[in-house]
Amino acid sequence: MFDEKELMFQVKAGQLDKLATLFENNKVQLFNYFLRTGNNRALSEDLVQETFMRVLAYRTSFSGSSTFKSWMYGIARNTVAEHYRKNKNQALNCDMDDEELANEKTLCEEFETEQQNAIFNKSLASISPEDREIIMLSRFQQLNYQEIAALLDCNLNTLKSRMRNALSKLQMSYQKLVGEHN
Amino acid sequence: MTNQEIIDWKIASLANNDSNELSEEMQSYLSQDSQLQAELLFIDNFWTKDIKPLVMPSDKLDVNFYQMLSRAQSAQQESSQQVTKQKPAHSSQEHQLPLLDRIKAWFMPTAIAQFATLALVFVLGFNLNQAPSNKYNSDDYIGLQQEVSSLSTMLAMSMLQKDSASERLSGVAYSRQTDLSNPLLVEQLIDLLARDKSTSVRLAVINSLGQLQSFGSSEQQLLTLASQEENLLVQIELCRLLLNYGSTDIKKLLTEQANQQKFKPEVREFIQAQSMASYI
Repeated sequence: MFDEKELMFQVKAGQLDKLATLFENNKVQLFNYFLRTGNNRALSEDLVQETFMRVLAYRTSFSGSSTFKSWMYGIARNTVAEHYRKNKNQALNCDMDDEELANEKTLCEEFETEQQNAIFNKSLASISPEDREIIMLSRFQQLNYQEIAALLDCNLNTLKSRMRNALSKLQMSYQKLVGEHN
Repeated sequence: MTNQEIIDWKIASLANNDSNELSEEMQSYLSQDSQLQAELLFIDNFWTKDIKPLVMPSDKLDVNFYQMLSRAQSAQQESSQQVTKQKPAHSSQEHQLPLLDRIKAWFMPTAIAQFATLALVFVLGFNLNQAPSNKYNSDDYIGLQQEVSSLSTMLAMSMLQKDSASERLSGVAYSRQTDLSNPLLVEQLIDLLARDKSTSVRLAVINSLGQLQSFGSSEQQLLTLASQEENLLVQIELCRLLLNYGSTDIKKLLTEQANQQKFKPEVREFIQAQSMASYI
């Protein structure tokens, strides 16, 4: 297992080749993070590329006070926010992409598990981007509370409370969708 | 005991694969609250079901990343070679004025550059306060100057590959913040000049190439581009570039081609007027 923080310090010291290891370790998760925040494949790949370009450009600002993952996701969040600020005419990432939303057919035709997964996805897409982000960072990006708190610049108790609210909204949305489906 | 604590325990146990058992106190609290039980069941389902399998990115992502990394490494290598060459030849005062100008030029609107630049300016200020002698400051300046140039080169090369014309334009702007000493960057700019669909980008590239002290081996390529160019405005600007900054031989070749009527009448007229002006 690589010590990502140590690798990032080596990148900071000028060993740029170490960035390749960090990229290989994180590219799939990061790509899926962008996909899950409602971006299409091509844009998600561009955003991963842009994030790592910034990791390289800002390498001297890495202090090691948080984990590499937490620092990298901070850059990733800024990258996507800046993208949407620059391209105001594009839809903001408040909804998942069309492919994921337009799955009425799946709901009716697929097996029960798949239906349940589809409803989970749909309910995730229906909550606010802020709530979705907290859930995603914990559930899918596997960041722990400390890392998410550092990333979102809030204290641990606030984060726990926000997480609970987010899960509660997700559950309400899920139950509503299940009711509609039945 | 609160609902929040039990939910925190649940999430922590799921997120960290923590197998800590629910305490007796928690169990008895939980058994009295069916709504909380339903909430925990939902969280459990949501966390444990593979509702969204990971999607793999395409190979293009790897290709782009490794190209970017390779360019950054070559830029880093070049900048360290330049530092070695420049160190003995210059005094500290000679570096201070151009550096101040450069610092002003760093404040471009793009956020990436702003952030990176602010970080560097901070380091510069910090170093100034720390180092007691001018000699050390000068070395730091050179190092930082090279760092900025390398950063701008890297950003420029990356942005020149973007799909959006405005981003490519930003790439050209970044290239102007460097001294165009990186041959790969010059090559990329000329390549963009030859194939880019956006006239604005191509005109900006021509403008940027004007910074080169010598076109070297690219001169003939620029002449070919000028003679084959279909866009009148770009063709005139290319001719202006060669007439203003090209070698004597290339200017002669360009004038000959104009005399042989290889260009459109407007361009011929422009070349002849420029040649006349240079004689005067």
